[in-house]
Amino acid sequence: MSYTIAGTGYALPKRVVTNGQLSEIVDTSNEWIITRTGIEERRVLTDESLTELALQAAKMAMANAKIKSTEIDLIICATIRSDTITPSLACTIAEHIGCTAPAFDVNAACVGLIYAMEIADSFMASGKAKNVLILTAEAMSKLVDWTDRSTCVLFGDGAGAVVLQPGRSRLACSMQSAANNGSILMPNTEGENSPFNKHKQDKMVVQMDGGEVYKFAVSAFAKRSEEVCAMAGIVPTEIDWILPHQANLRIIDAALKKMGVHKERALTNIHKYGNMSATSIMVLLAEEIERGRFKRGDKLLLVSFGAGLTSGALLIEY
Amino acid sequence: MEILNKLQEILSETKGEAVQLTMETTFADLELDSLDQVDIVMQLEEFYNISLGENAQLSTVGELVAKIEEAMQAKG
Repeated sequence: MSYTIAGTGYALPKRVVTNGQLSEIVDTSNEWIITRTGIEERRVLTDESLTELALQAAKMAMANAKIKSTEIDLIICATIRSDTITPSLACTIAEHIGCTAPAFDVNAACVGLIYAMEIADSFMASGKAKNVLILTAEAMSKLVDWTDRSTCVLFGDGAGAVVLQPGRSRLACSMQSAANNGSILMPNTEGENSPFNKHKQDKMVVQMDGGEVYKFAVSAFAKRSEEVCAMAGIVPTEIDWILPHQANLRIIDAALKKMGVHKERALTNIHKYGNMSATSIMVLLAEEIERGRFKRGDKLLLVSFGAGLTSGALLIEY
Repeated sequence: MEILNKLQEILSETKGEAVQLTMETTFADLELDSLDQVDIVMQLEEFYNISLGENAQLSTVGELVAKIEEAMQAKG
């Protein structure tokens, strides 16, 4: 027994930052950003906290699933970094909603949602959990170097949530890790308060080799997608909707071309939100469910790639 | 020349219009951005089943053709 999607939710910061506004902060332009990435604007946190967004998304998902917090058996939050190193964001949300189920965070970067859903499936299949709340939350605006025009224009902030209940939606999943080779990196604080520390303190911002990430992303997108299709006994053209990680529109276009799948099958929100790490696919899924895009029985392919290097594809029947 | 023809085919598809190449054509002439260049190298690597190395920095078509020939010979 696997899961079904019982309810979804999402929450975004109120502040919109356009490409034009970014060109006042760094040496870039609307035309450069759109042609290279497809991004027109993104949301950034100002006076809200990531915890507040995650809580809003969780409550929306729980309301849509018509489930009480006392009925939740497991909470998993996919995030690279939340408002506190400890407690985990999952624990913080558990406290806020009045739930004492096991709660932990997962850092699988942009593939976090897929990893979290697979973990949930394992708990549910083994009978350890019946109702699972998965959250995704990322404050990328607090992780990027706002003097580096090659990275700060790419990302946005947001949170999303999904409640999973027993069902048969999961068809196949393929996840992998690959050698980073310096492609994507964000150092952590190296014990700057410790009187004994001898490690040099690096700047705590995201660093990325765009070319290498592009190569990895296009290849991993196509390979993971083809793997899950083979596992499920279908061909990629039988997928009804593709929900790809929203890192760069050109990655999505190149991978779909490689797979022989028409671009119309891929859903995107990158133009308004940028890359929100694991939250990208979650918000996309939640928004499209809200607008009634999917009908029950539709085959949805969630596919992602990111820091680690991680990659994964999940085929579900809505 | 076979490699030049293949490169011409890939570039024409990338640009969305017919592209005529010579060995002296530069990538700057072709107005390709960094992601286009990575994408073209990827397609060539896949087609010829070779690796052109990380961030192969080349400025002319001739240099790229030479690099492909070198990689094919190394493969045997």
